[in-house]
Amino acid sequence: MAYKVTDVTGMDFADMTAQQGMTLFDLWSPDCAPCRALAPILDDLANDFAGEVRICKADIAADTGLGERFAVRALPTLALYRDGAEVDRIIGFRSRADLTSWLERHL
Amino acid sequence: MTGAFTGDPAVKAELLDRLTTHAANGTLRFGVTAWDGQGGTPLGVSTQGGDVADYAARFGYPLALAGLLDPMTAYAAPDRAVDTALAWVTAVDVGADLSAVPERIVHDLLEAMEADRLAAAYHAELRQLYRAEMSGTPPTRRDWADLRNRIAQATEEEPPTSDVRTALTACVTACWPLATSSSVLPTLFSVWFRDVNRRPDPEFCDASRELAYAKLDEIYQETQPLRDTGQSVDIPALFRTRDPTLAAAFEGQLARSNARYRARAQTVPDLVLAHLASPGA
Repeated sequence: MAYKVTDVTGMDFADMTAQQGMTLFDLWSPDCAPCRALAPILDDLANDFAGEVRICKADIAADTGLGERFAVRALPTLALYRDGAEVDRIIGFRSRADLTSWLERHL
Repeated sequence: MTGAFTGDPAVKAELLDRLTTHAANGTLRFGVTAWDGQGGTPLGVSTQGGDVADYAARFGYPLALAGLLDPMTAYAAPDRAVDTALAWVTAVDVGADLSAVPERIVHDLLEAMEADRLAAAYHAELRQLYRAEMSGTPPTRRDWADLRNRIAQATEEEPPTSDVRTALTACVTACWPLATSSSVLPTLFSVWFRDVNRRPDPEFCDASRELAYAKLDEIYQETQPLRDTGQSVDIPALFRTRDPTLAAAFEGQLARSNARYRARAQTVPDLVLAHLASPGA
């Protein structure tokens, strides 16, 4: 079974960030080339970290309010939350290996 | 295991019909996965979305292969892209077991980059993990990470343009579970494409390259004030004016480099389609 990235565009910021456990938010935009390159890597990370880290994506061009709530300054932004609080963020494209190491450090 | 097209000839026929219709209507495009409600890339129009996992589930292609569909058709020569997209479907028999195909493609690429010879020990360990994955006892994330980290460390110890480093880079790029990865094959192909330009161009030596970069940097710095005021600056044109000989040599090597890259990329469809046509070979 393939685990998928959950699209949270248009959802309530407080609801989505309040979840228990680890959640990685991919804040992206369709006209951002590095964001598009990152998408298949995040799909794979959803499988790699199934049951440990939820991976969500939000199109902040379609939902500008969400971009403001996440205080996005550049794309892609990857914001990592644990039990309702942001614990770290990465800006820009990273390889699957880099992101794997980063997530493992936070597990 | 129901295999390709979930064992149903109607699924294959419907998929082929959809691709053919989009091709005839000019709404089949090639490049980054896309679906705009009217047309898109092969994966986009097939799923009317763009979800690789959805494609794999609906059409019985392994996830790793599904992730290769749009990149592969984009690699094809433009006049072959439509045929390649259709052959991706027609080459596969209904019910065919494609589960071994991703590893066969990985194996071809590792051999092409001489990993079996120059990184033999790591290559053997990698294949062992693949075998374990195929046997139904998948290695853990830690198993993959341990091997990947060791290969990455060995890679860093090799000179930047050495054959061994290329072989190790291939191994480290391939060191992920294929059953749950959609990005491994396109990433490994990218490594192989880039490798085509690893060796120096005999018609453009390192000294010429450094001179060209220095000249381009000089032009870039000089024209920063113009860009700051919003004016567009044609840096290649300035380069050609200031140093026509060096600019021509620089552009010549760029053209050769791009041609080598393109020629290698355009071999991908044949390589993949051959495996799809003989998945048990």
